[in-house]
Amino acid sequence: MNREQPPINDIELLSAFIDGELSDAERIELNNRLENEPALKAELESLQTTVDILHSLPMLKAPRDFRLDPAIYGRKSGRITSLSAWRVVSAVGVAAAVVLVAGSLLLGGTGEDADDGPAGSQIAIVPSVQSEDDGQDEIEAIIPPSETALQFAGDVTGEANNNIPAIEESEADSAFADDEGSDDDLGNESDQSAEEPVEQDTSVPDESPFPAGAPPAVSTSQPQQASEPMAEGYGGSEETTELPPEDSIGAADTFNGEAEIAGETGRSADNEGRDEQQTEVAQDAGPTSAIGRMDIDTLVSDLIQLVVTLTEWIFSNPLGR
Amino acid sequence: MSNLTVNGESMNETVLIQQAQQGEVQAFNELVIEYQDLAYSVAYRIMQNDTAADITQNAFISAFEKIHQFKGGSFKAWMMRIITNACYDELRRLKRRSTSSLDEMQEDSDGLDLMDETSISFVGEAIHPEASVQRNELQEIIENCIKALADIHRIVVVMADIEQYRYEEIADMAGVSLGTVKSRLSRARANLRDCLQTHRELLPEKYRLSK
Repeated sequence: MNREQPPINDIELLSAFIDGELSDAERIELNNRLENEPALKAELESLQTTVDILHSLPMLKAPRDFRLDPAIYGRKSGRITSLSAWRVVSAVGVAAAVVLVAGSLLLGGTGEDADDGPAGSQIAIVPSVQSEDDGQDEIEAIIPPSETALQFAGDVTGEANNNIPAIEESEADSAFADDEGSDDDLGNESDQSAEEPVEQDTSVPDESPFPAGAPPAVSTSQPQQASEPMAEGYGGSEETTELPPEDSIGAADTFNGEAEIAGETGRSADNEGRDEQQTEVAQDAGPTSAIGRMDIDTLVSDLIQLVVTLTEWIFSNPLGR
Repeated sequence: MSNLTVNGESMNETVLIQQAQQGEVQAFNELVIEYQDLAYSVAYRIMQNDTAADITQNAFISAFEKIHQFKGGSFKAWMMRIITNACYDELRRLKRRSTSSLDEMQEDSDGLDLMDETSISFVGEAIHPEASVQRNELQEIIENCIKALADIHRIVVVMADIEQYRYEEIADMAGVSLGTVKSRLSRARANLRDCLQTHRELLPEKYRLSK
């Protein structure tokens, strides 16, 4: 630069003057100075030219089409915008389940009394919510004195409760582990969104489950897909919401129900006689995880996993109603 | 509120937003088409690298997810705010990994070969190749000068002089005081002017800066 730089305060004044951001008093004072200080006036002109050049910049052309793929981001039926009643009731269901299981442990479900219990004695943990209460799907807890098995039933009508092969423990573990992975993804997103200074964006935590550059596929509850980010907002398109394996029919019922509501895919056959908006909390550990004489460590471990998974599921479920 | 054409029919943007709020991705995609050039421009000019495309894509995904939070007003401003914040987040992330300083960037900006990777193209590029080349050359100079700014200066100048936000809005988005915005913007403009001055002969006459 050939000319002498004016003081930075003057540049700030001139810059704000260009944008009309000076107070009346400041503007009048600056106008007076501009009439008497040619250097200041030249400075103003050069800054104004710079701003004009920037304004002249054309838009860039998008290097690719940014439209969303309807197959992935298909119709959604609504999202949770606040802590809905459903969440509250679900949370109560989880709390009840935890209390019941903890109670069962305290009552001595370590296998010592297993032989005393009636055949098939189980803890049925069914936190469920129903918009139209027909008395069928209330939260149920059956705690015989010698229960040694956990059952996470999605369907309290019991049509599949007792005749389903026990799920392999390792499979159940894997399902829980995968769900925890999804939880981590969501947690990261939330952390990131917390930094956003956007006013509109602060009313609801950023629930975007998608890491940069990786638009996700719709996730089902199947363990083999659970390593992908949860696409909880998008419900499933029919081709991406597949049925779970046959050995987890109870879970299939529940999660199909979830997918239906989220994606409105309308597979109502499994929800006979039930309100479509009915939601039940169930676990993908399988319908009948019958574990005889369960070691207490395993039970506690599974309990922790259950609570984590239930919590994750409730707070990531797209159903707002 | 602009009217958009969908299947040969003119649709009000408000209608598209309402449909998008009901989960209609096709309606939202019409909004994407309308704003994707602008969104990418903003992202590119702030980021100055090829992360701009991913940021833009993710910002649209995020916008679709959050569109139920849009309560009216300017959808364009709302969308640009999401883009700008996504850029901010990325810059903060990069900052944490201690990336570029102004000195490093200025070292990089000595030549015009900065635009190597940029196969950037402009909306409405001239049909006449010569005019296009000449204009692209000028635009590249300007882009290089923007790129040479420090992050904190560049983002403010992009918001003020390209997105044309008011100081208060910038302060709000950047999470800094009004005085800081004013100060950063003036420094950014002064630096840009000095940078452009070195290419004075390439500027159109009306833009030639006095010596």
